[in-house]
Amino acid sequence: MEKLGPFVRAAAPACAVLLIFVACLATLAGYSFRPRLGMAQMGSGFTLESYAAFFRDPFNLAYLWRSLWIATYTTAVVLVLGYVVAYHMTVCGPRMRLIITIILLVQFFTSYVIRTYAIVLALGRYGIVNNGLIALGVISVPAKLLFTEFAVAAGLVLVAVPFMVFPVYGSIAGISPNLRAAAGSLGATPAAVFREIVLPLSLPGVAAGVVIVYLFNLTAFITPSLLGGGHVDMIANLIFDRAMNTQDYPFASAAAMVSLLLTLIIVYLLQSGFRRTIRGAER
Amino acid sequence: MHRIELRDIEVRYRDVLALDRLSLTVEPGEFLALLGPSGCGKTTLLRVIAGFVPYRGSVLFDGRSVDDRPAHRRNIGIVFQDYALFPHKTVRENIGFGLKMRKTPRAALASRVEEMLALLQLDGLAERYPGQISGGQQQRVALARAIAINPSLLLLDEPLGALDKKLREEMQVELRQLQRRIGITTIFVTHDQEEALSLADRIAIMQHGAIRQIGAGADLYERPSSLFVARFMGQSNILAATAERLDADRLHCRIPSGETFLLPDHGKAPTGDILLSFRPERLRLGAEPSSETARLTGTIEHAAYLGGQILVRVRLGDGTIFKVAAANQGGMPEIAVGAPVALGFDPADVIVLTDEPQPGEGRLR
Amino acid sequence: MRRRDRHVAVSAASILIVALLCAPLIILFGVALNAGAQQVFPPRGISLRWFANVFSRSGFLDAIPFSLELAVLTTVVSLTIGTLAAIGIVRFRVPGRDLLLTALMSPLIVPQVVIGLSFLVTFTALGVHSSFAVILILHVTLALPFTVRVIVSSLARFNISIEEAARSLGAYPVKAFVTITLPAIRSGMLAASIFAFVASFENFTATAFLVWNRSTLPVEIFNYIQTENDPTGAAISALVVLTVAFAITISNRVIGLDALSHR
Repeated sequence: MEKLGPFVRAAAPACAVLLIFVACLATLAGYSFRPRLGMAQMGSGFTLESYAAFFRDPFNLAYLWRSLWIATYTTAVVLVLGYVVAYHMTVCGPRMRLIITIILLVQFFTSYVIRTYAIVLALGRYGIVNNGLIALGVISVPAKLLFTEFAVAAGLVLVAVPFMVFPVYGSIAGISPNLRAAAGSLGATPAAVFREIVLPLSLPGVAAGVVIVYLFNLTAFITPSLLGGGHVDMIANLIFDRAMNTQDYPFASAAAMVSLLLTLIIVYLLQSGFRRTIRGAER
Repeated sequence: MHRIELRDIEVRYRDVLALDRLSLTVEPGEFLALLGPSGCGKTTLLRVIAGFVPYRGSVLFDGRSVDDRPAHRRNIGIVFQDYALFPHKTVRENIGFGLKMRKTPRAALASRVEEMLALLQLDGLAERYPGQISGGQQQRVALARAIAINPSLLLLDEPLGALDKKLREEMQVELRQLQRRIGITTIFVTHDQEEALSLADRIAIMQHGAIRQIGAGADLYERPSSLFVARFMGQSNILAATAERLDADRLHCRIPSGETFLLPDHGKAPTGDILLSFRPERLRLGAEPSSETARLTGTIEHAAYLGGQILVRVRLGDGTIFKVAAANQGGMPEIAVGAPVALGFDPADVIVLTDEPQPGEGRLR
Repeated sequence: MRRRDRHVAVSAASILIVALLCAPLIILFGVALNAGAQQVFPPRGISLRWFANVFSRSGFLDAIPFSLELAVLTTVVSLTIGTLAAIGIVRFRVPGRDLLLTALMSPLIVPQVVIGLSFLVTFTALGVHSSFAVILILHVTLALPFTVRVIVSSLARFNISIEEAARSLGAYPVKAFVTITLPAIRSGMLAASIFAFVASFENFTATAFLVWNRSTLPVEIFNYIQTENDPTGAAISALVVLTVAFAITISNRVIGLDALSHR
């Protein structure tokens, strides 16, 4: 136990940061139980009125359902797209892999604001998508692509793909080539090798990617802001608006706590769901 | 029982020739070892037969070419060096995998898996995962999986490399007994010449993508055709010599220190510069000269008591070090470091080699 | 063997997807180069005027150094704290260490809006006004999970017997660590620094709660594109992307991309 001293000293600064973090969350929780007394006013005492207000109003709940729904189908699309790219990276040559990695890293390290803005420009009335569709003769007048659920979904998908590719690539690349060779020698066609060997053993990476992307899409703020223009607001927009514009801190805090709880539940569900499917692969 | 034939196999990686127009025939039911140092191409050859590596030339099973058939249609059982067991499948699922790929009906599949479990003594482990069983057990599962499909050929790529010495020796015996029982043609890759000697019917020694010599272990050991084989199989003491043919069956050799002797030879060895190889166990310390034996003289440098034998290092007149292995007959013989000694040998035991330097081989020292 | 053909479909699909990912950034560059004020692609006329315009806007002129200072300090602080924590976690077999590691990852799970709001209410309740220091604390909190994770994995892979050999030869423990171990894990430290820098520099949502009359570059860009309608926003965005691409290429030369992409 004499190791305890040095350990504590090494870990102390990090624990301090952690403590600040937890304290902030605790304060948030505290605020969510305070009575609302109008704009920027807050009483003391304990009440559940903010939570009640949140759950009673279908308008509020709509944000929640919309966020859950959009997060679900966009994550599914990101999974497919990301898996394809990750798989390709394991079978292509080193030069192609390097190019793709650089492209993905540039995406990864560029602010979401910038990447989302680029999509705004692409989907605008005079943006390239409209121009392309008109040139192809699909439509004759520029379509209203921006400020629709489609735009928000497209934005969420494109921004999230790099986050799916890296963990999936990691787990597929970690599959020993001898495993595929062994399966092949036993009579597995390339399709069977994928189905029986690659797919199951890539699940840990898939699980990691799905969790990251789902959480990110669920609580996204920038994308619904820029691409939704107020028409496709998600839960994060509600929280931000109530906090910064209306200054209704108790309500905003309550909504924030609800999303935090939702996030934790989803992480738990996803991880235990995947754990059951992964079974023996990690031993 | 199937015969495997390889004709003029050539494999090239960029500008490196991994296999150099290699030809080989493996008889039905034979256990052949591919032996050689790392990089000699033995694993590449295995992968060519399995169908994992593109090649030029022909691979034939029972006279029919399989060149057009990809790996999953060659009906071969392979055991890899790291076993390559599917970590996410149970032992039972691993063994049954090949049968499942062949769409074997469930009952037949189950009974065949049971058969394999019994044959490889894996009862009780069927529901475990590879991560939950020992190295030796994993090795047996890999074997069971390979033979469950009743393959035409069994390929083993250094399968015992990961086991410790005792376990490896046990597994060698089990493996050979198993192979004899099911009678399957087997090719076994190893870099360990003792393993090859103890397991194989025939050994093919490879170097730089070609087979240097092929034959039964005893043939390779007693009559190596080249310096490389002589050095690779067991220990050798090498002396350069000049030879003159005295008559039809005797060769007169002179070694650098000036000593000469006559070797029985049946007209095969050329004259001029040759190499003589002496096996350590065929040299006798302190033998008295007689008409039956020849002698080399030197001084004792070092003696090591190794239990089963005593290894003595002797420095000959011209500076060459010779290793002599004396069987332990009870009690240390009189070996004094620094003392002069005569090494006796039977001229018939001397191996005559003429060697053209192989690519990559240095000049003789 | 015909293994290549099998993957034609996957390769084609993948290249298409990657191209789709690139397209918006290319459009960004194109729009930024417009001669006129209309944000069209392909650009009508080529001009660098909007890039110049970036540097005439006081908002950007203030935000760029602000973001850079924040990012640099965040990197230094989170790297130090993270390395110390990593040493504790990897070197000391204490019962709480796995729990600590998981706890340190928690800012990654909590939604950005929640983090941002919680910092805002807490500091307001304490009567502390938004300032550089407050945002710094926020950014350190956000960057710490990255530095800890990367350094833990670097340290875990480091063969401690090298350091022990140094100590047996007479070096003091701290000196042995600094002169032997730190250089050996320097590629991990560089990767951790990059993650921390980016986590701070590009952060928007949480930071948006804490900005006052000074703000960071992402916030400034966001505000600009909400209110103005010319290619200046695209221009500054394009500059950022260029810088990132440049930095990644340099990193590839120095430490190789494996350190960055295999988290």
